[in-house]
Amino acid sequence: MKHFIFGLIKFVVFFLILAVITVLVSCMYMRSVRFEIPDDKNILVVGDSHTECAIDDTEFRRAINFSKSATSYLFTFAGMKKLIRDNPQVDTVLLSYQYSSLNEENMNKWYDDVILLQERIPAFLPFMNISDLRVFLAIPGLPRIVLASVKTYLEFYGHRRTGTYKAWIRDNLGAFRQMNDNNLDKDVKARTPYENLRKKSRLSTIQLDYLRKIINFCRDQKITLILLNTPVYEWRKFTDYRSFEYNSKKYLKDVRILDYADYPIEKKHFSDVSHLNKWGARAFSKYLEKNLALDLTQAQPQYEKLFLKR
Amino acid sequence: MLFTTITYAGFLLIIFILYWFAAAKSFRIQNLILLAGSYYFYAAWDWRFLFLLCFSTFLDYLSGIQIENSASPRAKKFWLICSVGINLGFLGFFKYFNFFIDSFGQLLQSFGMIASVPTLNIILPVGISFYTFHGLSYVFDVYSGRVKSTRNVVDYALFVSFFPLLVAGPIERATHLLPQVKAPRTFSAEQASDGLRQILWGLFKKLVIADNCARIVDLVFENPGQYPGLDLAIGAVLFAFQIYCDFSGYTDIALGSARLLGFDLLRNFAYPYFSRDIAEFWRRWHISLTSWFKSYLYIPLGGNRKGMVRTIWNTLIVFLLSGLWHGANITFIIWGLYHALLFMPILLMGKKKEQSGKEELVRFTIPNLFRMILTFSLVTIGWILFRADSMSSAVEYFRNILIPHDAAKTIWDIHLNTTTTFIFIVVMLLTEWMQRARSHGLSFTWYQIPGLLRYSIYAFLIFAIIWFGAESEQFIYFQF
Repeated sequence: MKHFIFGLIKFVVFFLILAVITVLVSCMYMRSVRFEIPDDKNILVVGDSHTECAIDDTEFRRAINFSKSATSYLFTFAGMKKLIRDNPQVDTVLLSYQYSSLNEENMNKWYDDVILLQERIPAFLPFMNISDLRVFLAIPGLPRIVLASVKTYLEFYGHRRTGTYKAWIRDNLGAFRQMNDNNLDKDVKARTPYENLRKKSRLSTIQLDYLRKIINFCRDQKITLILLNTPVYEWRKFTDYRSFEYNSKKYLKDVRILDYADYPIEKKHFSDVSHLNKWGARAFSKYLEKNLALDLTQAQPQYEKLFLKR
Repeated sequence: MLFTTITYAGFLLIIFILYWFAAAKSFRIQNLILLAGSYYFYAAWDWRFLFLLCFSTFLDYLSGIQIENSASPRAKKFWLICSVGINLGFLGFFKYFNFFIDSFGQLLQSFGMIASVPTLNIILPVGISFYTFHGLSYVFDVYSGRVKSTRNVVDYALFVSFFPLLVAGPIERATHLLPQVKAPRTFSAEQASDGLRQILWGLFKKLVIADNCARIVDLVFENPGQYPGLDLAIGAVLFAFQIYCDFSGYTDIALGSARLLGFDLLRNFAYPYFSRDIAEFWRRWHISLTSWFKSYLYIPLGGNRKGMVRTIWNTLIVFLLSGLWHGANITFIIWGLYHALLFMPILLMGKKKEQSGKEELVRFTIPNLFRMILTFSLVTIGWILFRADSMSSAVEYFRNILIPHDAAKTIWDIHLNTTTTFIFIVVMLLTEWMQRARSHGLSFTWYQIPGLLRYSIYAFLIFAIIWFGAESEQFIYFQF
């Protein structure tokens, strides 16, 4: 028995050493890769599905969209740091900030849903700090997820060799996502107006912590950070806009928020209540291309004036 | 509790510790631990059917004693019929009731009679085909005097419900397993290490090959019209590897788990895809089932001792029932008959060999390679029947392979790992070819391969499981 147990321990130690080396080497490789974006793109769009579907970077030509559905600020922070370091021309970051970004009920599942983390951790692990991993220590199977991430980097290596790594970036780090559908009516029917839910939103402290880290990082790097609230259908009816406004005033006084929730967009240009489809994204991105600089200089976005004129 | 889950690993670890450390001094307590563990393992699937398992166990235990105690042959026969009748009654009810009722209804309809026959929403108790056959083998062996009835109910219950073989075999024989249950087991580091290696090899085959193949196979069999003929043929080949790696992977984990506890279970697979004819294939595939049918059906029917016509008839019966054993579907029956048909030329030419459990080492020669490919192709055609949901689906699949048609999809778009899956199939085949003289793909001892290389092989397999292993699917044979 002793011989058996000793042999087993020897192998486990061997395997653990090999696993740690494999993960470290592959992470170092990913960190060494430069994710270069075109020189004429100086605006980095990051965040979750709201910016992922709303910013068409072929229309908003100075911007490049690296947003990905269900990406928490922790991962956004990791990816954003890497992209900014690799691309010194980036001077502005547009970060998705919407009604549920600081809502504990909505956001905390982005930190503890194992299925989701099996995708997000491998994609962003090389760019994360070791301390970020502490957030996930309670996740069952974390070592397996970390070890499995090596496969993601092997895939990147394969894509890079064949010159198709943009597909890898789209699938892992994010990109503009064209929604071809219009399910607004169905979604409106399925949703209960927020007032009727009688729920009280609670603050997601972990989201706020990482949002503050993003703000501080951008400040240190002298990068203009803009929190972007993308168009929402009947914003005041379906969202907890009061908490959004309260949190914005209380915690984010020092950062510019561009609130386009009420941006007048046709019904057919929504994919669902809070996401634009590709036609909506085209219209909204064209607007940003033309008016973003102007909106930044004013207390209210330009569209509100346009809207009032109508 | 699937063999491929962390839950099973934890369960096995707890059993291992209790078994070898807390109860090492008494094999009676070890048996109790194993029995309790086995019932827990079975209840984790569906606790309601535990009562059925206990009833079946007690019935066969009692029948065994009564058969042995009865002085008159009539009384012996009564208890035998009682046990066989009730066991097969349960099996028939749970597995075949709806099939026969449906078939009866269809038969009436074909004669123009409108029949509304009632069907029941019956759930198939997991492993019923396997533990029923365990119990029957015991009763048959006691009746024929091959084995003495056991008086210890715990020993007998453990023989029937030993968790590694409870839900999908191998179908053990009382002559083989009961003596191991009744005697103290001693820990052997070599046996336990080999058990762990066998578990690792089984996990690799199941998670890396079978489950990745399943993703492609499920899609092509669902919509065969959407894929070109060549892709469908590849889909059938992938199913051949899926079912082999799924079932033999399961068996490797079962045998490995048993070896950790000091038991040697019957070998169930002996590299069947290296067979050079269909008879050899059946000596290498699901050995415990084919040998069961041979011992308890083919030989009692007269085997090959009553002339050629009777031999052919007996073979046909065995294959027909073997097909039906797999499930209540006409496709399984046709699959059985197809194999019987493939078997006929060998019978007629008198080339059939006896099943010895040990096959001669296949040498690499061009004629052998040709025969292996031919046998594999014939077997793969049979797998299409086996995999299809109905005969019409099977016919559609064959038609789409043979007749050119507009195909909108290709299997290379389905799943990112298609190429990787093929690479791992080649790795598996090469490994098993090199190891074909041994019991499983990783069956080697410490002095044969340097330690670092050995550890690297294990690590490679674990990495392959973590990186390329698909979401674990239910084992195919659990439905039987």
